[in-house]
Amino acid sequence: MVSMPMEPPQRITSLTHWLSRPVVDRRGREVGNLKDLVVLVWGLHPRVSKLSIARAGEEDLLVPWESVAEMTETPRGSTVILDRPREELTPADLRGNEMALGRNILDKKVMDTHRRRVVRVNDVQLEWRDDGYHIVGVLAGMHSLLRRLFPERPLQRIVSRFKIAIPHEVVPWEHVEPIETELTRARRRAVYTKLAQLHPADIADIMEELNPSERAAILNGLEAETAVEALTETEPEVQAGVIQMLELEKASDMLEMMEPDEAADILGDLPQAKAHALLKEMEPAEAEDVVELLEHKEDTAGGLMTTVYVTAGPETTVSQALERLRAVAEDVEAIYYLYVTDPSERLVGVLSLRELILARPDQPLHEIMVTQVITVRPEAAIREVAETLSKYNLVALPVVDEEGKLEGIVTVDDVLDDLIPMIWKRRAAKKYI
Amino acid sequence: MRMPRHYKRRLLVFLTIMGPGIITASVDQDAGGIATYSLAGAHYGFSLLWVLFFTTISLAVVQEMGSRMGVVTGKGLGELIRERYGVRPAVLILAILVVANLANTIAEFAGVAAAFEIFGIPRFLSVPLTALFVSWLVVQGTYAVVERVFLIASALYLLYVVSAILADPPWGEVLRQTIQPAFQMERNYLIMLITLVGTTIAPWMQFYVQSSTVDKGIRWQDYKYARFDVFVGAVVAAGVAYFIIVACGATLHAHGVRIETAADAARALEPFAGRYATLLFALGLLNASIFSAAVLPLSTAYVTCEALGWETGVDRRPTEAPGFFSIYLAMIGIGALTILWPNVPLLPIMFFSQTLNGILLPLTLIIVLQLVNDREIMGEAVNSPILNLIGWGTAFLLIAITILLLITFIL
Repeated sequence: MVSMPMEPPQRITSLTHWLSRPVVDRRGREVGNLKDLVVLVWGLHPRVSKLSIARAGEEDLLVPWESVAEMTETPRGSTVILDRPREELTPADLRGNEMALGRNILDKKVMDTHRRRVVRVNDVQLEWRDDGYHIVGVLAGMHSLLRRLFPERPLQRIVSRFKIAIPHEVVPWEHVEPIETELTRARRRAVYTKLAQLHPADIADIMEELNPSERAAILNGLEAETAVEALTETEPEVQAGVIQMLELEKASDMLEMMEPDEAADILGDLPQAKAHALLKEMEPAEAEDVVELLEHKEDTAGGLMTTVYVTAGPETTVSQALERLRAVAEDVEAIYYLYVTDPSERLVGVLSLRELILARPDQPLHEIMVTQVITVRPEAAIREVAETLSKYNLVALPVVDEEGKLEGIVTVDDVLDDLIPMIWKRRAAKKYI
Repeated sequence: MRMPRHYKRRLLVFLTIMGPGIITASVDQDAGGIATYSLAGAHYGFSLLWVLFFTTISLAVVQEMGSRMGVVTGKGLGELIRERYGVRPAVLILAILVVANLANTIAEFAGVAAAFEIFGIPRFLSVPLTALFVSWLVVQGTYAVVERVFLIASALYLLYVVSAILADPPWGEVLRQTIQPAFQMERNYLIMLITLVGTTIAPWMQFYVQSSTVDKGIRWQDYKYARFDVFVGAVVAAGVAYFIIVACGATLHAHGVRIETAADAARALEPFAGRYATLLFALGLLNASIFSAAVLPLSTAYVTCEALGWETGVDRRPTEAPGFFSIYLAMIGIGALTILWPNVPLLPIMFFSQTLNGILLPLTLIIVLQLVNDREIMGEAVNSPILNLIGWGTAFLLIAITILLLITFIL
């Protein structure tokens, strides 16, 4: 049980305020200087559990927080006073769920999951609770940076004299997600519980602010599904870079889980040797889908299309078709259209989900399907695809070859990524006319 | 900012061919470099070529260390110093980098002014326009455009090789002096030594090669390619320098011509290598100056902001990354304004900026050597003894020459 008689000098203090401060024993004899504070990584606001003390000519000493009598202001400045004579200090070991703040958090980059950005930690904020100091946040921004550079008092004097507003920036600990610590390295993988709460698109935004190796660490530490979604949301050059930084097996697993068109885009951006190695590592079925797509130019219907869609034969009944859609809806993104193909895979008709729902359950598809299907050829340019989608108000557009065989579909969101810059450009141009 | 995909793909192909080492080497051939090599060749003939021989080895070794640190840690040099040693040492090193690069940027604008003056365009026109152009490149254009323009431009450094071959030097003599060291205990000679090393191995190059290795995302398994790239880069950098010295040595030195302005270096080539030599020289100088004037402030801003934790990125708006844009624009502004000061001598600015680089280099090298030998950071990838010998040797020789130089001022 923790018995802390001490009255803290400040309710709120900071890590760097205490680093290098003298540590003395109960009789006021020198023990060393405070080298680091260790926290027990548990709960919302981890508690300081140990102190690392640097001693002249000797090994560093790790003492439990329970040996601290006071952290206070003395005539020699801020001082840590221990509760026993220095001869009776019992060195402790770092446990598996403990982490030194100076080594792992201070001066490192951490993610701010609330404001979806990356900050460099200038200081760690500590707050006094009944059982000792707890981390409540990290300090970033100009103020904490200047405090690291210059002595506190002259700095305050200058600030108040010239009435300069230097922004304080505190990131509450509940939003702080370290990128890499000794704990995560020991576990061989980081578990980003705070980061994983975010929408994959937000994770992608944060990842884009990191170095390639850090991006790979994030993907390794996220659950497979979240990781794949986050990766899909990043910019194409980021995707290719990250895939190269991952272990071959991990990378190919991620590519398999992606929509084949997304995987093909990434592979298309990689050096050929790397792309080949990845394709060889992938499951043959998934790799085959991707290879088919890779043969098309990237900014054509063939390059944009996905090979994951739902087909049925003309004799299938409406209820069978709906059953089929329900069964695959989990894995297939584009279920808004059902494509009707003959035995030689030629596209003979199409039905929207709406039409299926409104039809009688026992009707065969060929009685109600639309036979005048709007299609594009694989070599159609992206602009043509976009114009066709918009002209006929479609969510997806089938791509067929010269024999009428269905090769894939282009969905509106695949085109959107490439269309938005065009629209913006047009708008921007208008502004200046 | 999203670009059309096919355009991006082309960029990536470019980048796989041009590695960080070769890019760094290309930026290395800037106004200060050209001025220094020209002066070395004109005033000392081929007798300094041996320095280049040893500098090439040092350059390859220290650049390899930077590249290796980038691959192993995945972090830039500035970041690494901050994380390992804290805020104050990091700020000190960054201050050194900023001072050295400010001197370099001033030298780049001196190069711009000198090149345009060869074409008869006054500096009061050329320098502000270039400053605006370079600022616009980064504030309005995308980073990709900057990089592409820059990559195309680096091919123009081959002009110096052409220029040297047109000068037709006595190759036997050239080769002999390349491998035969000579030394003089004389002030100008010592300054020249420091400058020559400082312009070939500049402090910014250590930061630059490491950052671009990190950005490229190279895994330890693929490190041998990165190392090859760095070695090729070092040889290319030294090769270009070599040909500049040879060209100037064969022409200017042989005929006792002293270079007083950068234009002299170009004009003096005229009688020997035809009128194209001047054109080639001026074009090469202009290209080198403009693109280094864009890249150096950019890399300084990146390194500084990354280590201090400020927002970076040319794809952001200036209000989103105020620190980044302030540093970038301030360096360009100061660089340009210094050259607009009435009657500043361009050539000495280009030359002495590199002397400053040479004096500041050992501090950077010592930090690099500390980090690269730190097992906690590098694990098994620490330096081998021979690399340490070359690295420390370079640092200490430079310090020794600097002290000798100080002695000549006292005596």
